[in-house]
Amino acid sequence: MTLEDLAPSPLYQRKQGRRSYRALKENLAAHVFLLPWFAGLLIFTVGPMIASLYYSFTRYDLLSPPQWIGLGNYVRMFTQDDRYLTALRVTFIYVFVSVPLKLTFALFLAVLLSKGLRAVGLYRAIYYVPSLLGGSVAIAILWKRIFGIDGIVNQALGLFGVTGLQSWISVPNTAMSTLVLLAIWQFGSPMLIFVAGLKQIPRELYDSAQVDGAGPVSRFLQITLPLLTPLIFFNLVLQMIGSFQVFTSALIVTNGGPADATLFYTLYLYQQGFGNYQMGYASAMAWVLMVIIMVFTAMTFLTSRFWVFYQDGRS
Amino acid sequence: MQTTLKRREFLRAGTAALVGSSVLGLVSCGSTNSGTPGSTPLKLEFWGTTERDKRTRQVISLFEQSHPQVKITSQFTDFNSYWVKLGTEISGGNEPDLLQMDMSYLAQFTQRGLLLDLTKDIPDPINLTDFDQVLLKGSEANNTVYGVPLGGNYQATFYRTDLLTKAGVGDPDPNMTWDQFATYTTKIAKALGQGVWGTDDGSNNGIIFEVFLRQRGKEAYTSDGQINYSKQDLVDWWTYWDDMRKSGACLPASLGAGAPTTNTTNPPDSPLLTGKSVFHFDWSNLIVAWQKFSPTKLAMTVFPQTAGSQMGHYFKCSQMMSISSRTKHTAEAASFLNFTINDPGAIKALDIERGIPGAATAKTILKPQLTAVQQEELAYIDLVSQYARPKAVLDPPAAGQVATAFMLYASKIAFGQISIPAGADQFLADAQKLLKKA
Amino acid sequence: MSNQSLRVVGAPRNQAMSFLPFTWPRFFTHLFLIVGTVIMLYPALWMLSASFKPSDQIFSDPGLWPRTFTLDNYINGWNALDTSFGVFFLNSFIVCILVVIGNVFSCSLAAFAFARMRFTLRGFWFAVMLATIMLPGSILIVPQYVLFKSLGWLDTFLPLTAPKFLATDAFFIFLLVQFIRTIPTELDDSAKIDGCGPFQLYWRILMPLSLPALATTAIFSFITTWGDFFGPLIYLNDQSVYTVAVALRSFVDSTGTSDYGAVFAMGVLSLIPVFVIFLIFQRHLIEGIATSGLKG
Repeated sequence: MTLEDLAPSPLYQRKQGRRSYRALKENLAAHVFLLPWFAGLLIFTVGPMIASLYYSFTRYDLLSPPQWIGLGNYVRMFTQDDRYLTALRVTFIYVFVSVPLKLTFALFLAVLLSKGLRAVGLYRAIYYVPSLLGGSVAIAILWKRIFGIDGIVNQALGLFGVTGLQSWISVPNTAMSTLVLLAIWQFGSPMLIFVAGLKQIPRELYDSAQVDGAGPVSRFLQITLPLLTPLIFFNLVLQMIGSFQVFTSALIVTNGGPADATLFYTLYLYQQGFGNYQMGYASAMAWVLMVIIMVFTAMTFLTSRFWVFYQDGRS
Repeated sequence: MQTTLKRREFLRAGTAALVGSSVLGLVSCGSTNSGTPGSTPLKLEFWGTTERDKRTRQVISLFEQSHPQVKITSQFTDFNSYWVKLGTEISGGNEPDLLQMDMSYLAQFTQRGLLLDLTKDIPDPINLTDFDQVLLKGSEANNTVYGVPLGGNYQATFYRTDLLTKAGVGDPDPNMTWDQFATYTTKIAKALGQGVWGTDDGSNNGIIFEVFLRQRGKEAYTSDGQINYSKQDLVDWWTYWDDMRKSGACLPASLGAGAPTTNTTNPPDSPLLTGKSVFHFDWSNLIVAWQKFSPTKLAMTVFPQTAGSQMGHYFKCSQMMSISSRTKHTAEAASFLNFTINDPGAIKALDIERGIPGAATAKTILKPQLTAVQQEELAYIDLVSQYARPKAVLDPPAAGQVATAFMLYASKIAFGQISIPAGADQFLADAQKLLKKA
Repeated sequence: MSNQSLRVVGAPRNQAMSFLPFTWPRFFTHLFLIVGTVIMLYPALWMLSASFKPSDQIFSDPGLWPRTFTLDNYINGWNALDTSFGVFFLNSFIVCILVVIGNVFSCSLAAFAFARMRFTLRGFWFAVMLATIMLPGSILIVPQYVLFKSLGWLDTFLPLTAPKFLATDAFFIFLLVQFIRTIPTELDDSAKIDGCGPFQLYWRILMPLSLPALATTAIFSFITTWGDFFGPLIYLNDQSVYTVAVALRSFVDSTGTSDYGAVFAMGVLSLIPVFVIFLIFQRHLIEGIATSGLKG
């Protein structure tokens, strides 16, 4: 499978003779369309990325020029830094638990809120509010309160007769779950994307299916789900990339604690780079993360040919 | 944008400054009094909150009044973001002229030659003759002055007087030993019942550990930046607190040593203020911030002592103002430093929000404007200074990372993830690695 | 893919499209949604309520309705810094609107090329585009700072806005690509037969059809930029160009005396514009479909 297959192909009649001329014209036109992106890439992205790659082979404390140390940072990461391995483990668990749950809720609510319910617009706005609260001080305080030893969660559980409860957020075994819940709570963005996608599915398809006698379940499975797959794919890829890089919630709610139970990768990277002024080491960590993300994204792309249905001719 | 209130304020303060300066003759007025106003721009950066910003801006206005050719722009952010921004600026060659400096970063910054050696600027324009010498000495690196201390504080214990009354015990005796402290807090915890503990867990607190070490006659680090304590010291320390946890005298792991510490944990949601703990360890100048959020009265006392030992407390420079070694305006910057610590108007503006000022006249100048809480802070300073002796060794550059490791191992021990001896071994191994790298 | 004839349909908004897998009575749906609403809104409501409480009661008064009601936090917070929050709000608006415009135009151009055009190394460039999302942004700050300093862009909005006009937010390129790919190519084909060149195809056909995706891009761009404080923290020195996000960090620090009341009050105020923008744009998501033409 080539990279070429990852991107779509347009469908129009290709007459033999005119093919090369037309292809050349289209080639040129495409590059014109891409000119802003190329420029942005060149000016703002490529240079800094190369610089950070260079830093990853140096010891760089920001306060004095970088010093070349070759693979020293990479060796240190994998052989001399237990906290790094902890960060890897913590982040993997977080990604593979929170992303599926978050997407499931997002899809479920999107479906629910695409019906012609009363005040559906208002509901959508309400369900988006958590995503607006992002890295606010309010979340930092409230999440600790809600899941603390005297928090609402424990009070509610107490009503059901559950006693002897610990704090959820400051005990290593359960701290991660509170951050997973925070991620899921902020499902507004993928939900919105699903709503937009659902709205694009032609009603006629449902109408004709209904006429043919299909019930709601099979309508969902045969029409909605397949047509939504490009967006499910998009959300999956981007939520995965995003949660590998999650940072703010861990920083403000738990700061990696208790006892490194929530030491997310990017948080640890940030602490090393900006807190301890070890930008070389942090850069190396960033590039390793990028490779990890690339691997998983590529895997997702590879599987996509089996379950994603585009309408521009592929599969 | 200036409001009328501000104008009135600085007019009032400005008058006071003029009166003060004519009496004390300390303010160097317009030594470079040539050229148009604003011809010398200085950039100042510091960390803090809006409270500190207001005061700092007042000082700047006062200074600009008497030095019209200098224009200082100031910026601030929270402590953690400050170092992120400063590091980025330095790497881009855009550091500010005046920067607030913390003792934990001093070694690193001076080793990299980023701070101006102020030796030749003393005593003119920076007059330190009536300045607290203990504070000054404690802020030096390699016996050289790299910044003027803006304030000093001592380690302190805050406690809930109302809970002590409720428990039926008297106030703590400053001479109380660690063992007596254990008994004392166990009694309190038992009296107050379920859900309340006698004290915060100090096992993860490098500050108290350092005081404890100094009571044993050793500084935390050697003069060449190595760990100066033994595994036994660590084991003694962590065992003490482990016993306290087991007896219920101090907070359990999830509330104390293991609890996540973020910028927004303290003070409002802290165990002290939510009534879960009676004693809390912190810095003396923060009593104001803590009392603000506490509906009940907080009192202060010293750390527990070690019988027949040396004094453990020390007067710490809470923050200082340094000059970048790459500044183009040394004279003006130094002049500003002198103004900040010696000018009565500036002293009044800064109050004791950054800590106890070093100028000998400060206490007299500030006395009329101190609140009740602040007066208590001063009273505490008098008390604790009897239990203090100067700190002899500056923390090496990697000390912050060692402190993080210390907290991590303490919390792992508190959660039972690792035994105390193993924790001590691993911590010492990690610490040595960290110190070697720097 | 079934044949679809071209006709304009305005789907009535209240038409129930019941393709839910389960047939739940309306009641349970609403119950679920209302419980969900409480869970979704509780922190925002707490923040709102805290903003009206005096500082020393914010943490001690647990109820959502303030025991003592005060506007001090709003008044103090607004003027707490040397520059009033009004300036910060204006700055945030300017930056966010510029980012929205930049993103919508530059990312849609790139997305059109990726989704609808054939060109050399398309797969490779697509992978490069995705790769730019995979590197944590905080790592690039230092070299980008050096770059912006050498361009003389520090203390301006340029570092925050100019790159967006050059499609540096690859997230939206990918989003738009996926959306465009859900649009069948029949309309493209007929337009091409009618002699449409690529730009007209882009401007006249695909962009109008992509309105939901463009609206999503606009909303997300606005909201992310509004809350972004890292960029402004590093690039902005002069307080008069501060944005709300970075100004909000002035109130709370454990090394000083924090003003929680003010941070909550200003936080509430800062939520309002994003919420309003969201309400406005999300309506376009629906209307975009109803009047879009091709979709039946």
